Amino acid sequence: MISIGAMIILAVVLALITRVFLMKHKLLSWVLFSAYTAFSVFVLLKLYGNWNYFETMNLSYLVGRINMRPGFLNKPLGWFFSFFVMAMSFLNSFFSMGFSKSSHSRNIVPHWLMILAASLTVFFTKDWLLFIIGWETLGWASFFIIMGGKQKKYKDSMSYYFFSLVSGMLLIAAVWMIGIKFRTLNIHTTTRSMIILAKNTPWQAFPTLLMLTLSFLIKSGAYPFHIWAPRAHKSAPADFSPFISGIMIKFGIFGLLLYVIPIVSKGYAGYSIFGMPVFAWVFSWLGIITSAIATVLAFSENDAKRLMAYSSVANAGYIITAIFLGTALGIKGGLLHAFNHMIFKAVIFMTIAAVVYRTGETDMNKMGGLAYKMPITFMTFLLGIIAAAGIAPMNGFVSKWMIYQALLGQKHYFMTVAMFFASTGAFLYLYRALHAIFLGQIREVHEREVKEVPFLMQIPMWIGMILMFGLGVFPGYLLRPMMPLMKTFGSSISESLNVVQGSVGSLNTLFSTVIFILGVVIAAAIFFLSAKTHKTPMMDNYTSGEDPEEWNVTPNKYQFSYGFYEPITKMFSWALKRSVDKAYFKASYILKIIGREINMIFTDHNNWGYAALLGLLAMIIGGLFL
Amino acid sequence: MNTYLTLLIILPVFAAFLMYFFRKADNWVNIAIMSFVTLFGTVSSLVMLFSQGMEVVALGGWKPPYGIVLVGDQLSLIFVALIYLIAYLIAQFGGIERTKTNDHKSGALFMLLTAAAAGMILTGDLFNFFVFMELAAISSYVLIAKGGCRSSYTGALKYIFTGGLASMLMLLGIGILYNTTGTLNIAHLMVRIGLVGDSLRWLALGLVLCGILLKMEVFPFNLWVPESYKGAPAGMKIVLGSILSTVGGYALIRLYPILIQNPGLIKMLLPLALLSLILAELAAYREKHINRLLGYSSAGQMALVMLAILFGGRIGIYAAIFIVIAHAMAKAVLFFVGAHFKESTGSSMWESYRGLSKISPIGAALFTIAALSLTGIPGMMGFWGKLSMIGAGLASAKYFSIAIILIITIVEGVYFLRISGTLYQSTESDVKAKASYLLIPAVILVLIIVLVGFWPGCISKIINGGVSAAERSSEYAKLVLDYLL
Amino acid sequence: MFTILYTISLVLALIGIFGMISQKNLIKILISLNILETGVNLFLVTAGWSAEAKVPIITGKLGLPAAVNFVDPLPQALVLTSIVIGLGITAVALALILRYYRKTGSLTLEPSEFQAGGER
Repeated sequence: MISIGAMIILAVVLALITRVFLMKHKLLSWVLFSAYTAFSVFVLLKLYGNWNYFETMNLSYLVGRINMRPGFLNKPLGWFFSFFVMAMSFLNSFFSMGFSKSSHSRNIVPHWLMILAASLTVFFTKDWLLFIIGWETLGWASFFIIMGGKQKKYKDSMSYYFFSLVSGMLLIAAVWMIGIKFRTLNIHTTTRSMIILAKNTPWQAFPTLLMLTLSFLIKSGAYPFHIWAPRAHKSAPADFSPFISGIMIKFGIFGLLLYVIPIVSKGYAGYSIFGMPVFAWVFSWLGIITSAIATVLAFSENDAKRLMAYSSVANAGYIITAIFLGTALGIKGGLLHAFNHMIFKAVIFMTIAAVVYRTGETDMNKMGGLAYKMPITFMTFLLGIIAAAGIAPMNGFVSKWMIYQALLGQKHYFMTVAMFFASTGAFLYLYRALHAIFLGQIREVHEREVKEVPFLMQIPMWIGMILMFGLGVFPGYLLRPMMPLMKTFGSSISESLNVVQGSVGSLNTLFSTVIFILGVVIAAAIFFLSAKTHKTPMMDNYTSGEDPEEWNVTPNKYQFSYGFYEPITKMFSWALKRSVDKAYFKASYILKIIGREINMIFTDHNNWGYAALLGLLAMIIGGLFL
Repeated sequence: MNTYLTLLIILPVFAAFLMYFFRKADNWVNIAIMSFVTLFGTVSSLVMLFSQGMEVVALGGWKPPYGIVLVGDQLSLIFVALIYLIAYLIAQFGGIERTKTNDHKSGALFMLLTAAAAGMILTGDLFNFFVFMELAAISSYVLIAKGGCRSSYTGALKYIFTGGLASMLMLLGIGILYNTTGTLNIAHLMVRIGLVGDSLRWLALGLVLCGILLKMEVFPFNLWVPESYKGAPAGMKIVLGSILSTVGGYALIRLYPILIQNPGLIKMLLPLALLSLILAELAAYREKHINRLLGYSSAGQMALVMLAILFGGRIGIYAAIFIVIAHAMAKAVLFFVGAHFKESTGSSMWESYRGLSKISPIGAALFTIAALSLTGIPGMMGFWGKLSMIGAGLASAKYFSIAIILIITIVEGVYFLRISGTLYQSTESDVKAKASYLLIPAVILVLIIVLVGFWPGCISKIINGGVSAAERSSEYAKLVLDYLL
Repeated sequence: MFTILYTISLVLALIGIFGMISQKNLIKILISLNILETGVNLFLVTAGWSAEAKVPIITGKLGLPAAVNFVDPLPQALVLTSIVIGLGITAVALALILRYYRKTGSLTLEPSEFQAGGER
């Protein structure tokens, strides 16, 4: 059996090779990437069930007084996350092979391989040191991918790197607090010690937990740290956005589940409110606030990728809420939603990438009517947003249902209502995206030039469709393998293929699918049996019978979805005005001004520095008289 | 073995005089002399370091504490090896611009500077330290002014005045120390400093520290930094950033046993170091001229070293040594690559380096790695320093300082990666890579940085030896003063 | 006597520091530096001086009687070194000031052009 450490080193070596030797051979490096991910999926599948498989690296590190040999430990949580990372990267690699345009950056493969190495490190490490190393490597590797060598994308990638640095710094500080307290950096033993500490003296555990939680929440894009998400998604190469949205946002969730949730749900004995610790309650609410705010922000978004990024933030919000509930059902719902979201959001971003591939646009006001030209992409997108909105036969429905059940089971009615609001909003903006991109009037340029994407790029879309539908009808196919994972969170329900247990009832997904299909059949019947339709050119019907010429409207100028949700946007304008973005910009501006003033101290030959010198002398001499 | 220790100081001085006789010869003769001497210094100090031979040489046969001693223990040998390595790279690969200023005058001054730096590290006597410091200072004043532009003179003059003031204060402090303890031997001082009254000890040590803070570029004494770094010739920039500040860091580490007997002083220095850190890094955040930016960054890093020493404890000293070494190497890389970029584009503003990764991919990669190492990103040497340092701060419960350090690290990371990002932005330009030989030393140093980054075990044993030497003052005192018996 | 000497040396040093910080003219700053230096040197010499002690020169005639009271010779050696160093620094500084004057035609350090062009 090949070891996890070897897989990581292999990824780093491949990254070096592709970076140094294969810069001119883009396709070859993508093939290598694909082979590596396929191989990792294979290795991981062999590792399934071999829990507590353990290996130590032949290196020893001295951290403070702690002399340690880093190693890897196969736990279900890490296994699942790394499996999804590798599987999604594998799917994505087909897409990227097809995507190979001349403008497509060559830098993606080596840095992506670094990210894979880092994520394997993070998911399997048994000690905090390797965790930090992996965590910080993610930051700069993603920075270079997102920037992609383009000047205009620099700012967006920097915002990502900034938040990743903040997260890393918080993590280092928290890890040292743990290390100093427990004299070891082993994640699993410190978890146990931390549970005891949190039980006995919650205030000692509090600062560490808070720093860790914040560090992880930054990576998940929770409010007020969400501003990196839309920027990073917008600027990232179209075929990397699925990975950011599907995987990168989940690193925070992984961290929370690894360390914070076990402690908060099992042993935290601080003040409690509504039957849960205040700590968890606050962050549950933060999750809901995140999803609500992301939803409102998504309404007024005209860029397809930014809109979907806000949707990802909203989904991360649901997951955060669910896992902080701390109940087995909540954690299960959160985890299931995390995995489902990986699938459907990756698929949605792939379809957007397909659109970008053909049209070169992400501005939704410049698209429309593409459904006729790209039917497969349209189908995939449609199924994807059905899943994202949480409608019946798709996989998003099951996990959202479980989260609601978990909320209701704990009698958090306010949270449930707030989440309903966010969820409804999700339906609205997702439909808007569908409409603006695929329905309505097609532009003349697109009419002429756009066609369906090549088959290579369709492969992951087909697989994605099958997965979304299959896991929607039979969630048991994912829930059953997840049983060892749920066991670590204290739930030992054996899952059936199509019946999901909730807190107040159970859901038969097969039944709901049948209903859905019945509905589709009835609608189709009505459609086909009703009066004969006849096709009209689109220009004929959208000025309600008036002559378009009179209104000065041409096919290119017209876009049905322009200002689509203007009333709703107006309704929430008070919230949009006080955006966090502005606060960040202001802070960065102030920092620059301060930097300029400090520069003056050094540059101008004025007396500031000498005054300081005098002050120092005064202090030294003053010490004589103390 | 004893002779080697003396040779480390004598040989460069001898070379400096030798160069005068070869003033009519070709340039390569000078380079050969310089690289031979520095390479000899590197190798012999490394040999001594690994053979674990602790040497004490009493100069002129005068026994300590009456005479001057040279002390080659684990700590000082690490630093001698480091500065000799960097001096060798500068001398061999022409960090000092080959054609113009690498004549016998610059070379001689550079050799004197190397000797003085080695002397500052090896000496066991405070006044001798002061003399070597002045020797280094005078050569560096002239070498900075060799840049020949306006800011060279401005920088050199500012450096002279600040340096003169600081060294006179230091001399005053030395006088007071001698007056009160009756000795100038550092080992002897460690034993005797407790005899001095609190306030007088505060005054004397505060004044002595002025000179060291000047070399470490800590705030009130670093007003010369941006101009000097901007105006100095390329090789001198590396000397300023990698050799002189390293020596300053060493001196503070060496004086650590004396410092910790004086908690009041540590309380006073902590805000000073924090202020210095904030000012330097925020100034760098706004800076557009690459050399000035690197100068500010040096000041910031040295403030970090000072903070680590003030946090104290084994781990604090470990962090300090690690950061000093990582900084010296990374800063040398940055200056080498920066000189290469300057030669290629003819500009020193980093914004004009857009798209240089196309022209000089190796240079861009080296720059990025060194920058990441300075930020303290894992996989590079700087990470271990920063990691240990945060641990030291938290272990000594200095939470406020740690918060500031973390925030400033973020600022540092942003401005360094901003430059790296600029390098990797594609653009059309007809720039050609020139002076690529400057990348050779950078490659060597980056290899060390990455090796240590992935496998710190390869040097942590040596550094731990250095930590023990620095921390256990009684052993140091015994080592030096046992000679007496 | 000691008090007077110490006071004078410290006053000289403080005058020097004040001059260095308050003056703009480079020559004046240099002179202030020299005053500071004189003050510090005086301090060092005073530290080793004692009114009753003899000159610390050991001649053959004197031999080495146990209780002979010498002035401490070490500070004087230190001061000699320090004076030489001070001379060197003064010379270098004067040369640099000359070069600076030739380059810019000014004897004060102007604020350097802030980011304007910024090139050499």
